Amino acid sequence: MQRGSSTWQASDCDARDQQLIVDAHTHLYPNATEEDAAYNLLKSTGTTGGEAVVRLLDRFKIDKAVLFPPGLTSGANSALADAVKRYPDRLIGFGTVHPLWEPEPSRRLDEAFSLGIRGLKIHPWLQGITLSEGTQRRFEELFNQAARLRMPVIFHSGTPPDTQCLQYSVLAEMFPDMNLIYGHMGLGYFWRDAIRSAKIHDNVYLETSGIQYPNAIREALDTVGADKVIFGSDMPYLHPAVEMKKISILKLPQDELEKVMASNILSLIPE
Amino acid sequence: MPFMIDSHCNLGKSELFKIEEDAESLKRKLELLGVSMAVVGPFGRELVVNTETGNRRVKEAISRHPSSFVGLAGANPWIQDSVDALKRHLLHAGLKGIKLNPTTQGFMANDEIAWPILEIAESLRVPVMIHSGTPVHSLPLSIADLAERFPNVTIIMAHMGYSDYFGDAIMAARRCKNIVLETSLMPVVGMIERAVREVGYDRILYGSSSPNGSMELELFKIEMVEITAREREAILGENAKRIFNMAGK
Repeated sequence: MQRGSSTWQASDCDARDQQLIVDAHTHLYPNATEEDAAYNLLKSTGTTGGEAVVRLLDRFKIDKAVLFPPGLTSGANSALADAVKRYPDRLIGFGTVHPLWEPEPSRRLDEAFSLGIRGLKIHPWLQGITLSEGTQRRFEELFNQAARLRMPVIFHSGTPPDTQCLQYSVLAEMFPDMNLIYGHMGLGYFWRDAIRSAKIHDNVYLETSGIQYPNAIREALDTVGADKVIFGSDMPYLHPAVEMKKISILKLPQDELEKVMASNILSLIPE
Repeated sequence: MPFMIDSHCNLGKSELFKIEEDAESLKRKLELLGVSMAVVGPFGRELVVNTETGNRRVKEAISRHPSSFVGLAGANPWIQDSVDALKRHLLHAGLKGIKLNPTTQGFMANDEIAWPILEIAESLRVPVMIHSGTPVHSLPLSIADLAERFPNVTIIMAHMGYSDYFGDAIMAARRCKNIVLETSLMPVVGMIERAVREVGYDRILYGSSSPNGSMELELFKIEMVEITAREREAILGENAKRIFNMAGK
């Protein structure tokens, strides 16, 4: 069956006028099969790995991207570091360490840092980590080390029962020197908790991919200010044109747009 | 411009965002975006407790703009009066389907409390739109269980699984031929592509959940789906025409 190609034009997104767009949420994908939601976007690049990500950045006029590893333990960090080394001007690596399964998690994080990785991605739902109160101390070694290295930690948020924003709020309180980014800003179920948490805690930031309501992003901006809202697309799983459209619909003033689309995330990344 | 129908719009007050939608504001949105018609229903408080206020609002809107709106009747299975009123709305007031939200109304989607409503839908041959994707009450596989019990009722799974249950929504629709997937507030474009492949384009409806959802964004999302022009036209309008029995529109 013949399929029409995407009709997206760079002109569909007001954000293109920005001198810089940094996408704070992208994935280095292993090969995607047809059942995978990322299949068509990846196939359109004609390539794989880091090169596929950079082709997508080019196609959607995105300057830089925060890239996550193709796996759930620190074993996936070297593939990520290789991609970042190949495209140092385009990609910023956020690696992962499993806080419970891996011995000496802080050493794993040091190794990632020495490979050039500058942030940490934690996905309790896929990594199988229970965040309910009373267990957070088990993450102490890893999160204290992230804080020492000034590496921001982005968490998948919004999927019950282990990625709820009030659970992350407890972490934000326990680790005040760690910067937390709530990926998806709590999704449809928990975006109001996400906003309240970012309002209360100085070290909490909200990332916009996946949240279904432009009105929720508007409410976040009104409540916590443009300094704490960060654009991300979650590509190639989600569609970058849709995720940028969500921001352009809000018709933000230039100074706010500049913060959301680029400078907020860049200011969180250590040297 | 193809003939487009927004299959999921709401009238009344949004408690979520403190905004209101009336017939005129919705009609302006449709005109601005080139959408020909909207399927409108009650939502929020007026789907849960004040159902007859909501249904009156919907009936007023369709009588004012009959060529723009098709109406759904809300009923809460816990409120017998609202169930009793359904036949009147559907037989004599021109409403074309029923709307349920197990999450806000507080019942498991496959609980027998809702069966009398499904029996009315079956006898009058109208579709039932059910909110999906919010655990625990509105899970797609619970809705599939209900759909299997009422194979002659077309069940529109609003939001096709919402944030995280799109995979289950596709699985439910593959299992039950009487399930139709509605796309509003489901953020993954690639999942609509997968639904076209695995469920079929004739059982997918474009919707926006306006005013909570953005009609502009939801339409843009459908534009980004990589499918044939024929498939897109069906999703944007032709399927809704068939499912809501809008002959002659």
